[in-house]
Amino acid sequence: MLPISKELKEKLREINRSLREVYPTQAMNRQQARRKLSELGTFYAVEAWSPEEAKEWLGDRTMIGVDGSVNSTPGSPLRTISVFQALAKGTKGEEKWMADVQTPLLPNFLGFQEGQAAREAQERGALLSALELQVASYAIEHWKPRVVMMDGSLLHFMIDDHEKWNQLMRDAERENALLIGVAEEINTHRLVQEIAPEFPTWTDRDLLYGVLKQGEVFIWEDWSPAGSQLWKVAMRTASSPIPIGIDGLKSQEDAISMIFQLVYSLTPKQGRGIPYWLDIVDHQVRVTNPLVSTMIEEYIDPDIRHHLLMLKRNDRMI
Amino acid sequence: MQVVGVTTQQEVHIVSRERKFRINEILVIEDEILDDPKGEVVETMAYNRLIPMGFDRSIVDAQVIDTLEKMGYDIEADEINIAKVRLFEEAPFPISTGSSVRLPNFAEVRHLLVQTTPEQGMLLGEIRGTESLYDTLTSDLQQQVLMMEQGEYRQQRGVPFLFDIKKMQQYPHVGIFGGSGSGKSFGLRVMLEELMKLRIPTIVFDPHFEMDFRDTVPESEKQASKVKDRSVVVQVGREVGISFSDLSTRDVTDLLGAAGHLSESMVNVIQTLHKRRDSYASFSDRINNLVQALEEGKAGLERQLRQDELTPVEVNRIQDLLKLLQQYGTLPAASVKGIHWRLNRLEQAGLFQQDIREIERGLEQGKLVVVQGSTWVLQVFTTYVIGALYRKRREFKDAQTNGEEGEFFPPFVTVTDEAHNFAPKGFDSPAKSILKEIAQEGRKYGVFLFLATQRPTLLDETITAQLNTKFVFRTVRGTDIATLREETDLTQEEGKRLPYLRSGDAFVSSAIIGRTVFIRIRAAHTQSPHISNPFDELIQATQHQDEKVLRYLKKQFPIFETDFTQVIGTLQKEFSLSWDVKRLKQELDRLASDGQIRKKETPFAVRYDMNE
Repeated sequence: MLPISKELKEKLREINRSLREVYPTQAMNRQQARRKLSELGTFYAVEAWSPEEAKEWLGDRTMIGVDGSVNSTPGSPLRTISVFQALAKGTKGEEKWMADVQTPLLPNFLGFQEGQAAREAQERGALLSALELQVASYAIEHWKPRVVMMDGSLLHFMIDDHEKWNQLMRDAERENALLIGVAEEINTHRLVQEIAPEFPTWTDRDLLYGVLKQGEVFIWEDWSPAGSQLWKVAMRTASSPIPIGIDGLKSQEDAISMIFQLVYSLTPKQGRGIPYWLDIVDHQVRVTNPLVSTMIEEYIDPDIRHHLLMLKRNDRMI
Repeated sequence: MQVVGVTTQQEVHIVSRERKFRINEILVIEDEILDDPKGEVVETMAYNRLIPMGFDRSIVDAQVIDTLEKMGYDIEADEINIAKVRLFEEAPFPISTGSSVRLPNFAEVRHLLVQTTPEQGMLLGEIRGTESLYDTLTSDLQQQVLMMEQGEYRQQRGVPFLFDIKKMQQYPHVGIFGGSGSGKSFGLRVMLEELMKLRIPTIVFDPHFEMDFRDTVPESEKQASKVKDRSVVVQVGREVGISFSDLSTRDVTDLLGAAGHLSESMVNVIQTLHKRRDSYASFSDRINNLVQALEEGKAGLERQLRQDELTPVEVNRIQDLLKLLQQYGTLPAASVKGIHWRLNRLEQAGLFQQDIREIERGLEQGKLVVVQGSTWVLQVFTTYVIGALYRKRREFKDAQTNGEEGEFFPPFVTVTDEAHNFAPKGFDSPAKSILKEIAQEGRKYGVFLFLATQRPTLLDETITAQLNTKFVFRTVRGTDIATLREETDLTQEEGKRLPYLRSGDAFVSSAIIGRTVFIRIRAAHTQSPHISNPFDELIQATQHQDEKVLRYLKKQFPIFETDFTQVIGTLQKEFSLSWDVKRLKQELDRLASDGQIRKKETPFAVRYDMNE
């Protein structure tokens, strides 16, 4: 038996009931959803490449994966040090790293005053995006890749740092490097608003859950916001019923089917459905908790560390 | 290569992305404060973080990995190699983590690996894990050994393993342990070749008839010249034997005891009947006569004496028997008969027809003397011959110490396979006491033991403890591994490796070297005489006979059952095959079912004919 109080158990049961009401299983069966979706956009079956075909397509160029990671020392938001790191990694062994460290303990922290936690969090994301956009631009300029795969949707990079995004887009178009974003989750609402407005709490992910067959793409012209100059699709790349989101540049739309094939070929059929190359980059760039504490121990003098960063909770007796 | 993780004074972990570590290789850790300590790799691991293992993780499709590889990604670049390194000498404080690590050059580690020269030491093989040192090896150590790996010859690739036999003065005796197929006998052969090369007088007891060094291997012709004509093979009962008149009463007791267990009363019989300087004839006559006298009895003999028509010779004989009876009549007849039987057994093995001159001569000439014989005969003979030789050597040395001019007898090495039969733990055997004495005192006189066995657990502990150098080949039995770990400085990791060693690989745990070294025994210059497989032999013999018979039958075909008697007659006469009708029919049916001839059955007769 779980060691939880009666009161807590009751609350959890209540939540479960409410969830059932808001997300009923029978609300929309898969055929129904599929029919409605096909009225809106198109389904498209993708076949994976053989390794040789992938090689031929890539030619003598390289493929870049871009990802970033941020982590902070534990403690109150005002008493932390945050570590930012971004990596662009090419399949031919190229690597470009960028990093930053920020702390609200110093005056010019992200250019904000104390106490603006929400904006701060947003800004942290923006800082990381900026680093990722920079390494991506560097990669395009120096290694002339065939394709650059960003972890996360391109739209969110555009929102986070419009200026650097425009720079990257221009670089990609100039060098004819296919720029795509691969998102693990589809958190938009546009599809739901269009075909299932009766479920206001749903996201597009809930609508697409289990609807796509493996290797299938759903394309809807108007999915991306107007003026974004982006296309956006959902694709089920693995056995998991949850599709991933892929977006890319409208200007490079004619390569879209090859992009699907590339993504599908590189994705393990079990697992989270993301191309393995992005997993590899993620694994390498990830700033883990032990890594943060090791770095802090190594580079911050013990007295300062103890004074500013030590947590009382670490000294708990039980 | 870099030191990572928690370090201790004895052990560190080292990682490398580029280099795969080899077990037992030597590495230099660049920690200036500790004066660049050196250590040996005792455990290796490799890990690829992109191909994880775990029941809670999904598996990455081979296809995806393959595609990435085709796209230029070298997945092995993400492999991480990890080695556990044990320092040769304990450091005063732990090595600093992060120290970089490099491969040594030979000059830096020579003192750890090589104690003597190829001319003066026993060149037994190659030290495993020293491949990276070959390029910096000094020329006197290059191309010294020819190696054999998975049935193929190859040149030396690492540092040769040299056993400094001169150091046996301080750390005497060698043990060779390993199960069947572990390369133990082979290792023993290589050691004997080296003893011959150094012209060290050696006596080998060979119950398996496999220690013959005349058949050299063409690949090592040059080296083989160093063993040519340096060995003598003798067989007990043919070239060598026991000179009975040299035996003391105790020797005789031991000898007869080796032929069969002696009761107290039998020992008493020997002590009563054996006289100093007895020849075999005089001793056995005495026993024969006593047996006869005891059978006839006093009354019986006196009755015979009263008979008429006795020749003077017969009278003499009966009187002699009576005298014997008077002297020894109190001895129990059963015990005397027991001694009689045991003495006959030794005699029939030819033990008393020769002496050990041949062996002594061989040793004096610095040769290797191989003594062959069946196991029980060798047990008896070993006891006698080692005792005799050891005594000779001791007498010379003692005389020398006393300032007297004794007759020179050389120091020598005694080699025995299946040593647990000669010196078993827990109970007595004739050879045990002399082996024990040599184990404990031999080095004073320059007499050394090389004992090989597959059952170290069964070998006498006092002797095992005196073996200062131990070669440990593959061993599977748990109790033996435990014994070996107790008796050597093998670590737990090394103990775990024992059941998986390749044939010819061995750990050498030696007080002479001061640590355990992992080696591979070199290819032998000579080969054992009987290497034909008994199953091949079986097939050959059958084929040979079939061909013979078929050749004859061809002339006789077709053969009906009525011809059998005539065929049998010819087979008997020309090929001395004594087959009866039933056997002939069986053989013909077999040849027919093998498809070599044709069998045709009609209602009237059975007919055998040639194949078309």
